[in-house]
This record gives sequence, C-alpha cells and structure tokens, in this order.
Amino acid sequence: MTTRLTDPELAAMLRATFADHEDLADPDAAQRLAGAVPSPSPDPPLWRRRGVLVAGLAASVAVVAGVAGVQEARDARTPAGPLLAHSQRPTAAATAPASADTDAGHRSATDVAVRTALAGGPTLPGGRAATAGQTGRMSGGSTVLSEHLVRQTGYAVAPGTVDQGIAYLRDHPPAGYATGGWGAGGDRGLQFVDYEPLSLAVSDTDAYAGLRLTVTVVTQGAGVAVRTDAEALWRPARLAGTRLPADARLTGISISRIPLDSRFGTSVLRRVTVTPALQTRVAAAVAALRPSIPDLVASCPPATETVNDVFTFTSRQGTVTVTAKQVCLGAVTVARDGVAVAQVLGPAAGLDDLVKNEPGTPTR
Amino acid sequence: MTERTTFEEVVLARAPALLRLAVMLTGTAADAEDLLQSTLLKAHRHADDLATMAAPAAYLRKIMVNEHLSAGRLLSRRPRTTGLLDRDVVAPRQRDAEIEERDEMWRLLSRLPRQQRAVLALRYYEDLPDAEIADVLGIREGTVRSHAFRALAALRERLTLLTPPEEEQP
Repeated sequence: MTTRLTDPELAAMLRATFADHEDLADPDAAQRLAGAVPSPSPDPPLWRRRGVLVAGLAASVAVVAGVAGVQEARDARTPAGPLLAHSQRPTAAATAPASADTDAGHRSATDVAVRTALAGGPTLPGGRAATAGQTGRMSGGSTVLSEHLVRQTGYAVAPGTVDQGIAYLRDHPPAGYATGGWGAGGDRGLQFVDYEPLSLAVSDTDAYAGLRLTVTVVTQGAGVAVRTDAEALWRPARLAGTRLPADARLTGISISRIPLDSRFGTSVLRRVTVTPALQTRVAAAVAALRPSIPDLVASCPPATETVNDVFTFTSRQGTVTVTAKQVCLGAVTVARDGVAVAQVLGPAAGLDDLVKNEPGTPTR
Repeated sequence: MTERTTFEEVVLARAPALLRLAVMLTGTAADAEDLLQSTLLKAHRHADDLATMAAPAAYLRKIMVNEHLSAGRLLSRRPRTTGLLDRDVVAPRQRDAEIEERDEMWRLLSRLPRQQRAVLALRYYEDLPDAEIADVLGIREGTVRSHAFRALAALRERLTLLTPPEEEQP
C-alpha cells in the first residue's frame, strides 16, 4: 500500500529540494553579470562600457525579442567597434558592404519601423498627447546603451490611477503585438508594460532586431503620466566578404568537437557526405545569414566543449570556410583563404540543422 | 554617495540572491543566468527609481518573476545551448534515498506550469506569505492558493505513482 504525502511533508521536501539545488547558482556568475550593469549617468566616456553592458546583459533578450535601450541612437556616431567575446572575435580587417545593403539603409529602415511602432502604440482611455516637459517625472534618465539602438519616445497624460492604467495596458496590447512582461513597485509607484510583435517578420528583419514597445506609467497630479518608448537595434550591413562567390562549390563538411581546455585538442567527429542537394541547401542557408549586432554578444554559461560545423567551399577566388559554432547562442564566421572576415553572422542553428542528421563518415 | 554608485551597489548586492531565485524558477543554471541578465537589463531602465528605493530587493524580485512568466513564448525562439554545463560533468556524488527523492522532485517541478512553479518557489524558497506572492505575481491571494493547491496535488500524485509499493509481510 502507498501512503500519500501530506502538505507539510511536501513542503519540507520542497524546501530541501530548493536548498539542495542552490549550488546551481554560481555567485561568481551573478557578480559578473551584475558588474556589467552600467551607471545611469550619461557621461560620454562611459559609452563604451555601456556597449559592453549590452554585450553582457542583453544577449538573450536580443536574440529572442530585442533589447531594451535607454537612449535614442539615431544620430549615428562612428561605431565603437565590434565588442565581441574573445571566442567570437574574427582576426582580419573588414570588407566593404554589399552595395545594396548599407548601414545607412538599415538605420533608415529601423527608424521607420520604430516610428511606425510608436504611432501604433497603446492609448489609455481619456488620454491625450503631451510633451516631455508636461510629464516631468517621466522624461530624462537617458543612457546610451548601444550605438545601434534606435528609440522614439512619446508622452501622454490620462485620468485614473497607475494600477488602472497598467491593468488596461496589459489587457489591451496594440494591434500586432502581445503583452510581454510587466513590472511594478518602487517608492515612486512607477509601473511598466512591454509589448513584443506577434510576428518575427516584424520584430526581426534584415535591417533590425528586437523591435518592442515599453509603456511606463506613473502618478501625476490627479491622473497619470505615460511614456511610450519604441525601440529596435539596426543591423550592420552584411560584408561582401561573408558572401559566397557565385562559382563556390561545397567540397567538405566536417563536424568537430572543440574542448574548452586546449590541451585536449580539436577532434573531428564526422565528415558529412556532400551531395548536390545538400550543397544547394547549405549555400541557400549561408546566403540567408544575417549579421549579428556587434554590441550584442552572449554572456554564456561555462561550457566544457563546443561543436563546430565547418563548411569548406572552393572557387576561382580561393577557399571559403564557413564555421558554424554550435554553443550558447551560436555564431557563424567566414574565412577566405584562412583569413577571417571581421563580421559575425547568425543564427548558427540553421546550418547545423541541415547537416546533423546527414550521412557521413565517423572519424573515431 | 552618488546615485550611480548606489545603483551599482544595489545590483551587485542583490545579484547572487536573484540568481538563486532564478535557478528555482527555471531549473537550470543557463536559463537562470539568462533570466538574471534580462532582469538586470529591465531594472537598469528604471535605475533612477531603483537607486532610491527602500526595498529594491522586492522590486527586483518582481521584475524577475514577471520576466520569467512572460518569457515562455520568447524562449522557444532561441537556439538551444549544446555545450555541457559544469554540473553535468562532475563525478557522481554519493547518493542516498533522500537525495534521489529531491532530484526526482526537481524533475517534477520542471513539469509544472511556470506560474505554479513560481508560486512554490516564492512560498517555499523565498518564504513569502501568500499576500506578498500575490503582489509579486499581480494576482489575487486566492489565486495564489489555487496555484499552490494544484501544484502540490500534481507533485503528490506523481510522487505517489513513483513510490514502489511496500512489500507485503509474510
């Protein structure tokens, strides 16, 4: 006969279970992540640090839905340079972007998308547009997080309380958007709601990533002040050097294990049989890759090893090697005759999906 | 002391505890670190408020839980990690029945709906009263009790199913 656990017994088990798994939380990792947080002070010398913050903090958010930023970055300064994790840093100089695909074009397209998102943002019942000056507690606090961030901000005032406003906003996402997260609390009674596009085709395009809306509400007088931020990060143009030459022919695919400890050496696990059909699919997947946004680099949990899919193409222009690193958020790099092109592409998972189940020759 | 320093201090001081809560919510170190990242990012957007709060820990906890509960749809979009975590490769430790039981409980927790698991983590790990859990989750206190009841019932049922029947005495 079996005995059913009582609530106190279950509670005791749960407490012991939670306590037993506390060691999954690495305090050093927590401090490292927290240490990447920038200060809210907007003094220019910290901009680079803020770029690093985005690299440290925003990777997961950026990949899945976009990055929250705190300042409009449309006034394009010279990019501070790719802030790449060491393991992802290519080694050679940049190549000129393809002509039809420019940084300026991407910035412009992002600006249009952000303005459109802001125009379609939610409105509280009885609300009316206001200026930043009319919502004094809502304006300011700007901090540059990324050279790639495009932000447009709108202000409004509305009757009612913060709780009423947030409840309405949570239940009434703008057309084409879903309510993401929300936060509440704090001594100033500030609350906010995030919205993310329902369609990846809207949130993540060749020109930008991470389109989202954030609406912040705070008490002002007898009503509330509302601040709506629409944000996205423009992608750099894809460098021509990352594209395959027209006559490129896929001559080899190898899947290698790369241990974190270099003393153990790289080992090729399998060589995949190249067929004409597979060559067509791989070439199409390489053509469809998008440049990663330089400020956004994953802060990944420790891995004892990673697996690389290496695709070798030959052409009259030489050898082109495409490496899809299958760890953490993934990354794809391209080398020409052994010299890396200074741009990271993604996602890597698509290339791996093409070959992981293909027949081949195990090498051990 | 400047506001900037205060904000940094707040985040640095709270991060280890937040990461532990993130583990209890997500079940894995990798997902927990992702959750802490996105929580801190969101907190940074309200840095000025956070730096002046009397109870920043509660505010950060609220952001984290809401971020976690809203992340289900989003996580499905991200590539999966293929690397092995340190914990996965450590030598097997000496096990006894209680440890096995807690590991089984940990696995069962991963099958609960996110909100139910969050309620259990806040109640039995953070030791929050139901009223405070309701505030964190933005739901009524009765709904907290309902989630807890259903979660405990599910765990009880699964644990009972897993318990081998006692041998009959001759």
